[in-house]
Amino acid sequence: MTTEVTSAPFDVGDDGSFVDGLVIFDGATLSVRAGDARADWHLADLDEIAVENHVVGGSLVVKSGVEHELLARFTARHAAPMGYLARLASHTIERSRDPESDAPAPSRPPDEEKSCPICGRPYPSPERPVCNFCLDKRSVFIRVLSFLNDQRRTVFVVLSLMIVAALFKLAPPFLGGRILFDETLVPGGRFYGRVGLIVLLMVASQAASIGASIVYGRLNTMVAVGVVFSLKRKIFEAMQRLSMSFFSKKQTGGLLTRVNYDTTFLQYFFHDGIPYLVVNGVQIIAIGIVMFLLDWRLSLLVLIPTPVMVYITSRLFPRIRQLYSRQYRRQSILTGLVNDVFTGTRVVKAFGNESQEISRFEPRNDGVYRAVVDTGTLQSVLFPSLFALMSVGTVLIWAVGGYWILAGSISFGTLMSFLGYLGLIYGPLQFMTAVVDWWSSSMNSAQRIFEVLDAVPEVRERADPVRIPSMRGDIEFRNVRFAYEVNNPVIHGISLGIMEGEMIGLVGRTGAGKSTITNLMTRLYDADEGEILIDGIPIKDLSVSDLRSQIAIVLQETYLFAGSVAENIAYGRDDASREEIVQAARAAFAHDFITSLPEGYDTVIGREGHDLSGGERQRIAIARAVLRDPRILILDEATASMDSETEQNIQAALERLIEGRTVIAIAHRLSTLRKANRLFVIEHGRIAESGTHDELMAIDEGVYRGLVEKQREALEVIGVGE
Amino acid sequence: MSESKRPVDKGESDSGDRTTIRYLAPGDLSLSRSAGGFLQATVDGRELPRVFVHQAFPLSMPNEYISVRDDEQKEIGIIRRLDEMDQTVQELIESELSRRYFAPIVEKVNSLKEEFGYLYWDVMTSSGDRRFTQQAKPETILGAGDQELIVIDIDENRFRLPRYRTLLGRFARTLDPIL
Repeated sequence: MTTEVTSAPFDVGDDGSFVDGLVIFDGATLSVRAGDARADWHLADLDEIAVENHVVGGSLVVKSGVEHELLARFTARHAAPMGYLARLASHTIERSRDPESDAPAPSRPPDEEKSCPICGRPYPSPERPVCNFCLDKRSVFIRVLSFLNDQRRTVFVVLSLMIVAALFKLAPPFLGGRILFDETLVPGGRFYGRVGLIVLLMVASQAASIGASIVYGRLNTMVAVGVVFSLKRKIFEAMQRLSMSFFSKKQTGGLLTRVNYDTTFLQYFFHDGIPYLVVNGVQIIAIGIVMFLLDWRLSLLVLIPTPVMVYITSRLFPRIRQLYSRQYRRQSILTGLVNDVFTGTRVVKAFGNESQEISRFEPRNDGVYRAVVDTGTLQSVLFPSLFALMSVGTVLIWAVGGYWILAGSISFGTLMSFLGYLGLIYGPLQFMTAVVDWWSSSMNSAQRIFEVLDAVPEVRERADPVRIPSMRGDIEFRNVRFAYEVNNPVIHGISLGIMEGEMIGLVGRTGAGKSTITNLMTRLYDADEGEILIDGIPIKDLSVSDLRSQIAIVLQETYLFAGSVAENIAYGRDDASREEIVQAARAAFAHDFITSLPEGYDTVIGREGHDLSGGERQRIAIARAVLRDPRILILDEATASMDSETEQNIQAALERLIEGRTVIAIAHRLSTLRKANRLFVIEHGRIAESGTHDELMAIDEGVYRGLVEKQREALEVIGVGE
Repeated sequence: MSESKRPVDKGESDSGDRTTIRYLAPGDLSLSRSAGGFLQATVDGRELPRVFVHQAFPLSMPNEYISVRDDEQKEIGIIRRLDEMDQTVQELIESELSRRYFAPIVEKVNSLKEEFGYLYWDVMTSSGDRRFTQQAKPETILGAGDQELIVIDIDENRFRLPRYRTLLGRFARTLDPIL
């Protein structure tokens, strides 16, 4: 009996209110504690301890005979530790009843810290204990900037040119104001009469500023596009490295569709964001200084409308962004509907549902219309008001400045220069007020990208994997247990052995766990408990590429990639010669139909390409498998989508293919498993029966016999009989 | 075996005759709670030590079409309208449903903040105070009726927000982008 003390928290009381409870199992007693209340159950009195899943969360239930008793209720947050506790306690009961039992003890789920220790908020992703709330945004920013590391020199040149351009921009208002009016046009001025020179200087400084902008703009485009290019590659590589579970998980699934959007956003960040931040920053500071030097009193006047402008911009810009994103979302809903209807146009027409589809289109179209109108309305108010506010500043300067000129306290040139700088400073100021909002969305995008880059694949290769360049093809499952979702196991402790060169049939109802068995064999997922061995070596120790290169799968639904027929057959074997491809196609009975296509093996199929029938696609998949020459072949409903004649051809193709290999075939149509050496009947994730066809048929009331008889009856009903 | 199987695992569950619906009238079904805390029933004189109840339309018609199932998850019958049943039956079924479809009702939103694509909630609910995190995407929100939302957090827990506009108040803007 185990002496390990295990505990699992629970958080829902009898009346549905949240509680702070704990179930403790010490090997002999289950103790349930919540506040001061405590109740104990002795294992000796119980038959089973189980977790029952609800739509949300679940219950811990003890069973003795027909009596079921509710021990604790918990939300989904605590499902994993509670499931482990239940399995451990049940295993202990089993062992005490049957000390000979070889059922392995359940393995403890990894301890996951679920909440941030600083703020107590739950982590968004359990695999990545990073609290978005307490995360230092500067660290994200620094990491984003680190993408620029490779191009440090170019970045330095760009920054210097930006500063140069910003400084040259300062000259024209000064030349065109103070110098022109006070020193050039007025007798006695330092440059009296030399208008040409001043204009030339103005043009030159303007030209220098524009020239610098052009050069840094070009360099900057290369930097930004380069960064995003390499970032996209990194993300795609990271995605290829990740396990199946990452793609099927609901929590992360959405991330992938956003990767494109987020990288584009970062492209703006590098291309437009940072440069404008630098240019505008330099300009504001420089213009501010010059204005104060020209006349500090006028400078203070400029500041009067600024707070209002900052307020409006900081309040309304986020709103505009929200409206844009709403518009975008509604637009994609509408596009989705249109796509849906066009893809399903046969169904729409066959059901005569055109008018309903039109009425489904109406409100969505209206939604887009409203969103566009709202965005436009706000924008048409916002920008003119900002412009009006800017004019208030200008009017104030004109008024006060004019008065002061009359009073002789400033020169006309100073006022003109001042007005020139005023025109230059509002743009950058406005940009700066929107910068906070823009900066935080860029950091959001970056953070989502880091989530993908940092995600750790669940299926990992060992540091020094065992290489088996040529595998024999022995397979063994030892007490394998697996669940896609917590506490909802699909495979309950399966043990089976398959010998080299044997053909095995897996039989059972939909959802029994047959395909999951093959997923575990190829390490698309790793078993939660137990072990899978190939040629006597645990697959977790094997080199993943050796393992997968020697296993081929033919599925019911064949995915054909966009490309030629030849490329699709050679998928995963880029080095295949034309001869090998044709040979494989011949072996798969595909050569004839391929050569009768107008473009033969060069026919482009897959998305947007030539449409092949189910049987034709299937034969391409078989040719793919033939070319791979695997040691282990998995046929998952490989002939299910075929008519009888095609099926005969494919059967013949398969028979050629299975020779000398270990084959695991899954089929609903039991007649396709005639050639199998042995059959395993899988029910609810367990092996219900195993043996040859004849042995299984001899079991009275056997599951297999029942299935065979049902199929036979069904065929007789339609008058085909086997 | 240590876990119960979910009914969905059964593939095709044989619910008797597949074409006719057996409606349970008030007289057909008597319910009580067992000592262990579960529902037990008597239907047509047959004693069932444990029965389960499922909503057929949990979002659109939570109180109609309630499927009553035995411990093998075979359907015994359907309650057409819950409010037509006896008071005790109604209460027992409601409490059983609230267990299966556990979703506390949010009574007050203390704070709602968006950070890096996740929404951080701090709420007072019918079950007590709770903080939870939701992924900011439309799939994590279900609409139940005109005024009600169901929010699904990252652990797949659910929270109901009746009259959500009023309830959210100034936080409505934070949720708006994914509605």
